[in-house]
Amino acid sequence: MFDRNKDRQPEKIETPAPVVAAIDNSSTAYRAPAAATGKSAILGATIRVKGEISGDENLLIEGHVEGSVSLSAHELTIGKTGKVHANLTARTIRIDGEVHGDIAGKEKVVVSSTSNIKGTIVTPKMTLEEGARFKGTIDIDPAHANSGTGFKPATDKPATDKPA
Amino acid sequence: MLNTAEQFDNSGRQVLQTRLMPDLLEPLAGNSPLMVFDVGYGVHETVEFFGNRRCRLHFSALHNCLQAPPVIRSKTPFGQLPDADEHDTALYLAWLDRFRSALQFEPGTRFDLCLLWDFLNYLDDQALKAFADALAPFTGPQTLGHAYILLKSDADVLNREYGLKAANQISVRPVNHATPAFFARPQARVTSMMKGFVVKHSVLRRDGLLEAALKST
Repeated sequence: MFDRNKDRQPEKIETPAPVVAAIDNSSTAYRAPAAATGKSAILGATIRVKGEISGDENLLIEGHVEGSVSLSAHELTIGKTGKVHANLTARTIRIDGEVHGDIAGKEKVVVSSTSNIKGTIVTPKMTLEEGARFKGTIDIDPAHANSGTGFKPATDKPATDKPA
Repeated sequence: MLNTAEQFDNSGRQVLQTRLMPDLLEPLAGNSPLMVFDVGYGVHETVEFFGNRRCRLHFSALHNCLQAPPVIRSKTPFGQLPDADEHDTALYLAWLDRFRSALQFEPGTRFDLCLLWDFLNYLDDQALKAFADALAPFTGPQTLGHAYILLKSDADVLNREYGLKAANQISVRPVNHATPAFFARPQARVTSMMKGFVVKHSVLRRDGLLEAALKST
């Protein structure tokens, strides 16, 4: 049959830039969750969030967050420009930036030399990288590594400023 | 006894051999969680060392408290001799307030091991007494401690950061900030002001530091 539209290009759906965008730089309008691609979602350096963040994929925070972040089965990274006043819960947590709050890594917490942390870390396995300096409390219980059982996050309360 | 063994590790850090630390750690092997208080910052080696056992590590970075020491203004009228005791008491209380603010732990906290490193050498007599009193609520009858005591003021052993690399090895890094005031004292004078601790064993190192294993009284 006669089709008047056969030479037209399919319309692209224009969407506003998402607050949380996948690292994948493909130009497709629809993005699969980062977890499906094995990559991390990014909260960019100019983004400010006040409230609760939870999800089912990996997340890299380069912006400012105040409240709480919970990715119980995934990886959370606080990038070098990240400033987080929040309690953090994730399977593994890497901190390169600034965190004021309690940190619960169900499998592992890695603290790098560029980090600045005030708070308590609870995890079965802790790595303080060469050159990193930490002020605060670290609760380590290797018996809970990889089991996920009996793991008790430091607290579920929103983070508040308090002495380390 | 002189301890002469010194090494450098692959990262260029100085490594001090210690025969006292294994004696301190051995009786704590069964403590779970092991409660450790470190006056300094947490560093890679210390976290790595304790990381394979259940423990709670408190890193207090107390050297920050030494910046801008408290200044006591004399209430003595001009022309009269100041009252030294009054000044000392006021200084003690000012330090006590400062250390209590810095040492805020959960109620019921009792440390098994206190890693004091060389911190005591940066405290004048009143500050030393205040530090010991501020720490006392968090120590128990089984608490052990480790400290380096400066006996001679000309020893080149100040402004360093310590970590526990192995039971018998303590790592040392230079710190990049101005050296705070320091106080060389004999062991007996230090322990006389450290309420709650006595020296269990001590070893005089070649570098002029007296390594001391402390135990709760």
